[in-house]
Amino acid sequence: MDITFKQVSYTYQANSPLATPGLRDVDLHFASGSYNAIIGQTGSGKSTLVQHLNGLLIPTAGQVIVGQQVITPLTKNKALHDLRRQVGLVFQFPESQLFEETVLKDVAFAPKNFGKTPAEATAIAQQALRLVGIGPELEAKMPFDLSGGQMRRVAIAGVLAMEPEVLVLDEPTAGLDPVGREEMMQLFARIQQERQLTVILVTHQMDDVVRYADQVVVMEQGHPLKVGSPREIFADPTWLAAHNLELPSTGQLVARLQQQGFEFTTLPLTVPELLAQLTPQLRQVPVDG
Amino acid sequence: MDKLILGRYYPGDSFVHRLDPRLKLILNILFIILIFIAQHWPSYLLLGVVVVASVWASGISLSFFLRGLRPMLVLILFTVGLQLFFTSGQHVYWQWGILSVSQEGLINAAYIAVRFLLIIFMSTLLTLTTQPLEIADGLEYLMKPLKVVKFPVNEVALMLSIALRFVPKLMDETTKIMNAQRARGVDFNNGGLIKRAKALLPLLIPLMMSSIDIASDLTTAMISRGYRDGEGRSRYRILQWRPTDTVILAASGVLTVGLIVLERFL
Repeated sequence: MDITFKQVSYTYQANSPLATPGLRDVDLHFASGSYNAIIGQTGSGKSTLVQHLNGLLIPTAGQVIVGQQVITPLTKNKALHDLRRQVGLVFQFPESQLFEETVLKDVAFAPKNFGKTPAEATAIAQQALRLVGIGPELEAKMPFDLSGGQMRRVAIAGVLAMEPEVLVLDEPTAGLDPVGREEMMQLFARIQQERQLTVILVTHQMDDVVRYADQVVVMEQGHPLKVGSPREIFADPTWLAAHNLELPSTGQLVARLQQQGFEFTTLPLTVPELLAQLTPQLRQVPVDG
Repeated sequence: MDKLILGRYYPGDSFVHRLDPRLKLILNILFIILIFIAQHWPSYLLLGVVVVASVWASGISLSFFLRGLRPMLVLILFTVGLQLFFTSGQHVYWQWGILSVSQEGLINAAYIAVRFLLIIFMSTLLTLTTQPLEIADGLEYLMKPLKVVKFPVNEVALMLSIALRFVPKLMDETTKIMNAQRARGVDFNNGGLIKRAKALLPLLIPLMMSSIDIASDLTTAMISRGYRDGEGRSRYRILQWRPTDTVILAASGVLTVGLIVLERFL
């Protein structure tokens, strides 16, 4: 599903002395089936932005167009039910949303809310659980008895069970160990391929951005500062530093190699690219001894 | 969640903000007593003027207060409705089964509404202009005499300040979980009473779980830092009673006497 933001602004607690701007003049486009990353410092409006995608927040000005649905400041809550099904939102630390007696029931909760029969919902839930790597032996357990990583997976299955066309991930790997993170990100990439999803990932992990994203949006003070491919975004290390953004780890390594006298014509962002430029130079280094 | 202002702190540095929390607590209690002493409209007018003047001195706009009242409206209307329909009286204007509207009922309902409004305004002013921890400190101080009867003042004050400290945290948590469940198709605002009550379950259970988590984390942190309750703890925040506090207290004394005199003559 295509998603377009047209001149979207959002103010928290509008019309009160506590009013604080969340977003201002956001114009963005996420193409159907693309993988998008949103980066920026804490408080730059990333989470506010993604909550507009399924109508949890309604813009105070402008419009958000998701597929056929147009959300304007006048849109009523009732009109958003269908949109909520089409846009699955995985929040930060999604395990805090678990509440049912069993894992299976919890995952079947969303499909039931969106009008599936209990039997259908159970079938979809089982499918979603297999997808995230939770076996049948855990289905009857209480969600609170699982490990942290398993709880996270169950919560994500609970969103996937809605069979959304757009998947919004708000720092889905926060608090996971490196192996868990890697597995989780590969899982999302696989699901995106299989189901042709439009993915919008909010993250601080620049390596994931380089690896998975087609388009990157840099947010600052509620406004998209720069939009482009990872290559365009990470091309200018001085600009990144000026906006307190990290380089991906390959980029960081390159910066240190440059200090040692190695030369790079373009900034390598992946390991193969790095090797292609680095290996010929290594051969020129005389071996001691 | 955003709309309820009772219990929130509104950062500022006004005259009211700077008053001693102990004074503000005493005045709130005194004000509630005065509300119940007052039986006539001129007294209510006087108290109303006091409220408006206090709000003005706090630098917080009156419209902000009025908007904050909206979530409380149901409670006020319910109580007023009870008074209105179930007070029996001589001059009955309207009757239907056990429900009736009488002159006495109307007057009682109006009194209740005004009392409610004034008390809500004053207590909201207290919480808006006083940081929760200041309130807890003030309460601890005011409860000191209870130590004589072995009342665990320090412990209660600690519980209070912890509870108050975690109100905003739990508010945030509530918003977060509500959003997550709304994203999974829960509708908190529509449907019948039973449907709405059922919709609360996916909110309350996670909230309970996270409260327990927070509590256990806090306990661990306190134990590992060697916290011990009881006598002789020094304090980080020290309450300071200023001359202005004495002036305001004296003025309140004058108001109390004035009100009692007024009530006598009416």
